[in-house]
Amino acid sequence: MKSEALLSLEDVRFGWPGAGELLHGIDLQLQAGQCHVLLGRSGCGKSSLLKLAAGLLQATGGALRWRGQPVRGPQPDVALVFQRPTLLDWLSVLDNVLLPISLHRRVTAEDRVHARHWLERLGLHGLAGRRPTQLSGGQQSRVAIARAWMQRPALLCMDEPFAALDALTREELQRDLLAVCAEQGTAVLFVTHDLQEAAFLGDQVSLLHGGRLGTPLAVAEPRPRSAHWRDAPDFHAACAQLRRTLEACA
Amino acid sequence: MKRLSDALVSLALGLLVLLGWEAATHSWGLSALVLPAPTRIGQALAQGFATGYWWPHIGQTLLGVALGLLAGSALGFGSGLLLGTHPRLRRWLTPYLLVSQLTPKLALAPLFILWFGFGTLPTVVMTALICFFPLLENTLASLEQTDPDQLELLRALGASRWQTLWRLQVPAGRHTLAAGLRVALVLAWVGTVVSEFISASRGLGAVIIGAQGSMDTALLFAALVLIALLGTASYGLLRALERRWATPESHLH
Repeated sequence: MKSEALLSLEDVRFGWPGAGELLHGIDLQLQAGQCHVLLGRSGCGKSSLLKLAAGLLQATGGALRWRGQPVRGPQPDVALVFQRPTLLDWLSVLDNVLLPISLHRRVTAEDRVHARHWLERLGLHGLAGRRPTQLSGGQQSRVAIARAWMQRPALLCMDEPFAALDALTREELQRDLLAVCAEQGTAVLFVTHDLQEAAFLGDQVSLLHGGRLGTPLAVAEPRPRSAHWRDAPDFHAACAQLRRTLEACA
Repeated sequence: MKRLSDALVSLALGLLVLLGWEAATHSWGLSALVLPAPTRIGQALAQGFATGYWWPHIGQTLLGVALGLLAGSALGFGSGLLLGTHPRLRRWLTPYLLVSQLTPKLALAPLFILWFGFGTLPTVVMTALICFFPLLENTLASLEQTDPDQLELLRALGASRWQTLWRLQVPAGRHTLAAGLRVALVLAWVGTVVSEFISASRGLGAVIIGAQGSMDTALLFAALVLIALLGTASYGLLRALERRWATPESHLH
């Protein structure tokens, strides 16, 4: 099984120069199409771990492999979604979504059709010509996700992308994310400090604490998960189990 | 409505000051050599236009401002990009740039006459030197202010250093760059006019010195009025260009 992992981390260590080690020996296996949630409190190194996986940071020790090859930098089919939408405010929504293409080659009519498809798929119909500043926070997050899908990613690395949104918008975006991931067969590495978000999105949930990653907890609920599952007793049970584990760490 | 009435009040205030000025010169019997009445300044202004006296001077000054601003800001922007992307070069050159900028450049005017003679060239060089610094400073500042997340995004998308500069850092810093250009424009007028005091026989600065020599204070004031009007107009033009640049038409295809 190990050789089939899309992304594998073995004893990965990381620290900022002169600031001591932040991550001490992380092991993680991510299979294609799987959603793995990294749960932890603020400042525990979750974001650094995600950036290591995305090739934006270099590990100070251990082995990081993407499709069996050592990771040396950003991969074209790994997309990153930040905490803030990080849109370029001088470009239209459409041009923001086309950015992953336009940085590498001329944008074709087909690319524009593709970008508009993603905007519509994410509920942004008719907003392609707007500026990012004319959109709500939730809509901006959706544009950032549409931009990520333009990369046709095999892995989506998401760093608390919904943290700044209201509860209802957050749940809508979580639902849409699961639906599109299932459709595209995309793996997700999702960082959050929100227990319910972790339980709803994750096939596996790992707790990051003190620079170490706990044994992944499997969330058994099969996909597709509906919004109604949030009201089900086993959802609450899953959340409670995560909470206990989190508290046991602390 | 409110904006219109504000504009009217503003205009009325200006007229009131002019009227007071006019009345004061008459009732106190001030010599036209010290403070000419606005009507006499208006006469001098109109007479200059009627005889075509102003045009070569206006043309010369506009040329000095335009060429100096263009050369100075292009150089300042280019150097800003170079130093902003090469931190080591920046550390090496910063002390010298500071020294060169903290030396009052107008003090160099006599030297420029020695090197470049009289006429357009010393004025353009002086103006360019003065416009250089605000663009350099603001270019460096705008490169430093780039959002770290946006930089990381471009890196994750595999953008080259050149693309990061032109597709992210320069457009993201456009407001800071525009502010630098506005400061440079204001300074360009100072540089050109003062340089013309010293090293030119044509241009509005030269008119002022000439008028002082012939004790024609009304003409001196008329030249000042022209400088103020042209300076304001050029500032307005720059703002209009900026607005056009800041809101590029959306790329609807």
